[in-house]
Amino acid sequence: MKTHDQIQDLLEGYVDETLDRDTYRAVDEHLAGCEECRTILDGVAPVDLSGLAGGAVDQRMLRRSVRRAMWRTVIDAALMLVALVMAVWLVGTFVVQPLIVNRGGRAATAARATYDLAVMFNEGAAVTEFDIDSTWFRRVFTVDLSLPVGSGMVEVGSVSTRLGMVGFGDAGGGRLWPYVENLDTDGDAQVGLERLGSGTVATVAVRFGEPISIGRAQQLADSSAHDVRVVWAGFPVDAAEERSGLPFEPGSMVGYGTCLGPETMDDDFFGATSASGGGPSTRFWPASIDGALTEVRRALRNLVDQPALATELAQPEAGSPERIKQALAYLSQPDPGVVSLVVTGPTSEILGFLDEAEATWTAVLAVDLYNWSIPVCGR
Amino acid sequence: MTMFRQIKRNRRIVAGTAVLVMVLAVAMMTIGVLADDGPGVFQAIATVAALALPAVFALISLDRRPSLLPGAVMAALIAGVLVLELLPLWLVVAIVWGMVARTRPRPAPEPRWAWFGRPLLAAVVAVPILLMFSHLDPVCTVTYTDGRVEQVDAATHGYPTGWRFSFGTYTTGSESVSGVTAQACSSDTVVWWEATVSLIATAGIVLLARRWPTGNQLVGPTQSY
Repeated sequence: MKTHDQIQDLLEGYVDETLDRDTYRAVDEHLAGCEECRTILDGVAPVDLSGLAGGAVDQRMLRRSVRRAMWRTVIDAALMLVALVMAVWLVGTFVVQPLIVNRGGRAATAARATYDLAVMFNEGAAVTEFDIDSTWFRRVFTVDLSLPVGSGMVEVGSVSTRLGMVGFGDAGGGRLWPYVENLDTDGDAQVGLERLGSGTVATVAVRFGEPISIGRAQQLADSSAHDVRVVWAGFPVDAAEERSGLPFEPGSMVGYGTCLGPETMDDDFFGATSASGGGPSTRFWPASIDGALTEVRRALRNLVDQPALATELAQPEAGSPERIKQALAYLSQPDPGVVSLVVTGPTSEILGFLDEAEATWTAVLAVDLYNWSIPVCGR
Repeated sequence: MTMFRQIKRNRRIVAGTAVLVMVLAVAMMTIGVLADDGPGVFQAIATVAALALPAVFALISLDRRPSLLPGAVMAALIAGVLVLELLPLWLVVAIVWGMVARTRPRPAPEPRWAWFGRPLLAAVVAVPILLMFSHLDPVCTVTYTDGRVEQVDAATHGYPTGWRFSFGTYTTGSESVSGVTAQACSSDTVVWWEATVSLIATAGIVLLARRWPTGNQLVGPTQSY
């Protein structure tokens, strides 16, 4: 047990931490209850005036002290700057990223979807690299794909999607269109949709072995058993061959979007397969299967009236003016049937539609990752 | 604020942040161990021990070794550079400890050799980490549709084995192969012998830090009453 006076003699060592462990503890405990000693400690610690005892000031020491004080100021300012940068960084990382960019666990979902979709839509392909580029305000998920060829791998390309503060952007393949052309998903749509999970908006094409009536197609579109939107209807024209003798590819059809505008497709595609003839009413979007047929007839008629335009728009294998005329004649009958539908909606709803439609062929055309960037027709 | 309160506050800050770092390291590795493809428990312990070294330095500095605290700051920065994922954490901790060291009432007494010894001691925190990741031990697993998980030769997937420094870059891959649901590869895992050697090195470094001279050793024995 040390006395009050003994403790005061030990205060220098307490500040310098040069006391042994027990003595340090004893001084510490005494200071907690001794205001006088704490006051003395305040005098002991900050300034050591012993150098001034003789009254003379060492100029060199003074200059050094001033220099040291200046350096301390500079270092303090630098530390504060670093602390400020760190604070901004921390806010970006731990507030903006989790609370805004990744709200509702979007990042994990987007990452998984990007990865899964890339593999799903490129049969046989392997993901060679999965990269997540994260900044304060966005995340970009990139999947590099390769195909095994012989003993090596050939790069297919990469798919990337961007998760921003507000929405979800297709940083390069967000909707995976570049890979849709190589799809070989006959009969696999159901498996693919189940893998996508609920919440994803997909666009699926179905074909029927035999044309179904327009009434049946409309019934499928309006069914209360599922909530999908029919965005395209295809009408068979291969049967026109029997009448005209002109060669039609088996399964040939013309169709029209029931809500997509023609401007969403390139001219060649639209001109040849969707029977767009241009003209003032092409921006009219029929809301029913019957309306789509009306538009197909109108478009074909327009092409018949303007053979030059038909030749210009139609791809060689798709339509000579004569074939277009025959197709129009065939489709002008009251109910030529519907051979294909393209529907869009949440995966769970599309699965319900597929069950009801009993189609013979299905294919996933596009997937809108949670409909974050480009709204699919009607959603 | 009185000097007494400042001294007490500084000690609490250093102890608090050091313990916090240790808790975070333990929590991080616990999450890793619980993950399906995470490291084993022994490897996790070795990793936590290596990552906690700067915090251990800070705690040791509280035991009459104030001149070791700047060493803990340097060790934190080195650890941050080596394990970039934890850089923000180490930067914050280094700044906090640096501020505490700067607000000491008087500079800690120290001999000239401490100017070289301190960075050297800080630099050795890299040793246990380097020991764990300087030998590549890739692992690839295949998960089949029936739930079986098998380890396959990583070399055939292009992952090299041997002495080459690389941090545990985790890469996963997936192929559309019939009967296979997923393939996953890790370019480097911590194997038992790496964990053992790393743990021994960590223990050695802690003992070395404990040898850092205390304040009374630097200025001679304190007069006792």
